[in-house]
Amino acid sequence: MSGYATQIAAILIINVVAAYAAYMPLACGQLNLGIAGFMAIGAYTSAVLNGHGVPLGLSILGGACASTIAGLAVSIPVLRARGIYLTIATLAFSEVVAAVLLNVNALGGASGFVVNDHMSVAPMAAVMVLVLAAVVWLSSTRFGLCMTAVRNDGRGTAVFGVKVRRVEIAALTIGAGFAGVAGALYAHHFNYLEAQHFNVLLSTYAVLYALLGGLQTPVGPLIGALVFTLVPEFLRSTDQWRYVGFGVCIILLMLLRPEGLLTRRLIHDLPFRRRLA
Amino acid sequence: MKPLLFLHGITLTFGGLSVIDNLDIQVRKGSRCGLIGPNGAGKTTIFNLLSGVYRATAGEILLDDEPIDDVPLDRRIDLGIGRTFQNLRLMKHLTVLENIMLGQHRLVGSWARILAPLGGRWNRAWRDEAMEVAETLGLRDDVDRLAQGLSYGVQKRIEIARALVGRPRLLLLDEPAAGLNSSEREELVTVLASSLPRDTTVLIVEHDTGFVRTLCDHTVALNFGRKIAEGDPASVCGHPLVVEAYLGKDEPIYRNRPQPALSNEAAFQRNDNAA
Repeated sequence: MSGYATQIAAILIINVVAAYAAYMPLACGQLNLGIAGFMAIGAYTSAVLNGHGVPLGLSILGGACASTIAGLAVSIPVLRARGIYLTIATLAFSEVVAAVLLNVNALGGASGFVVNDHMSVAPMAAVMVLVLAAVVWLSSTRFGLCMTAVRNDGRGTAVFGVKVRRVEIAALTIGAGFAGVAGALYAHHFNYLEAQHFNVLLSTYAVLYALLGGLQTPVGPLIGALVFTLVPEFLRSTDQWRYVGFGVCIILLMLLRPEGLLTRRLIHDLPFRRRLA
Repeated sequence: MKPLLFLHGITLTFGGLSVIDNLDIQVRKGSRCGLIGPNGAGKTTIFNLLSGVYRATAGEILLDDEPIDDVPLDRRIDLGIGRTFQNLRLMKHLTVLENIMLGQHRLVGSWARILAPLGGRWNRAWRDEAMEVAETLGLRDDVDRLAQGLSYGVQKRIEIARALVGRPRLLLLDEPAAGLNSSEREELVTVLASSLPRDTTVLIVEHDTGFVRTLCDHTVALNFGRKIAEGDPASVCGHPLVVEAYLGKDEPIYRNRPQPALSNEAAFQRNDNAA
């Protein structure tokens, strides 16, 4: 694999995991724009642990745990807010994390932080498959059923005894954990971290992959991340017009597939669909 | 027989507007009680009070002699209160079977079961039970279809099935026949008569008095948040106050109303004749 293809594959894997970080709360109807903040926590924790001699695998696990704990700590107060206010709160959290990282000299501050161990594309792909398997499994359970129900009608779902707030907190926390994994993968593949990278654009793209791929199935974010990571690369030959082409693709998709590329209706219309019962 | 449900002196006001006014209702265990009344009578409001959406301004609600006013919305189902909605609240992105299985949530309990795949061994008994209820309500062929896009009559039956799988002690059916054509309505009456468990107490809000007469053994009529009649369905449906609430009454002012003034043309004709 050429150097260019390797880098694209690595970015694709990180984007897919980040898309699932955005997907989990979105599956409950919560828009989390703090993905970049959770990614930064995962990335820096993993890098610091690795710098202190912790093996690579355990460092990544440590990064995921740190972002999961941060996700739980943030979701409890933040999920008291609804709609746009919740989104603003998560965005603010992300900005606070970036500002702290930028000003802590022990973490390199504005100069950045060098990460020791390198991770190649193959083990990164294995981690991505694990994340995908976890989301597919969660979606096939009653928890997945509750997430969809909460997204469709939160108050109506509560009537059946579903603890709506607990489901929302669990989804945001699990999503934060996935973001930590994405951040750790980024840290160990590129071996250099700077706080400015973890900005709102990173969160926006993660949300975009999940939304455009479709929230109705666990495969949607994978398709979304694949398409919208690779389309700008395919359009690279068009030089500066590639961003115009990318924008047009997004607009067309929103017009033609407003519920995302992959919907349950689409799957149900397939002749070989799997029966639940 | 002892009442399962006792609404005692219930009053509900929104600002200055009184929606329910000092209402007393008793529903016996195992009975089928119809709640009738014109639009705005407060029928659905009572359902919302029972399921915890609203909290009464005054009075108390007793379920099996236990006050339930302080029990929050998501805990009411733990008391065995199941309900359907007048405006359907199906999860459009879930299949019919998944929608029905959502109604079992309170019975499932542990996180281990919540995190077990729905199609797997751990959920087989729950799935079989949901399938059984679906079959009773004539939904066998639709279980794999998405709720979105199904006919209104089918969606109504999914809501009833979802409420029934929760094995409620008290089942609240909010206008189950509304929006159905006559054949769908007859079919639903037949299905409900055969599928409602005998030990489940049912409270039905309905406009269709024929529906209430067929299914219910007791009826309460409301108007403007007050009870105007109570008793067996036939006598309540024929009660003068109930008829008046639905159809209105003749006002004396209209009976003794003066003859309408002659039109210009008729007046001219009369003048011509006089001349």
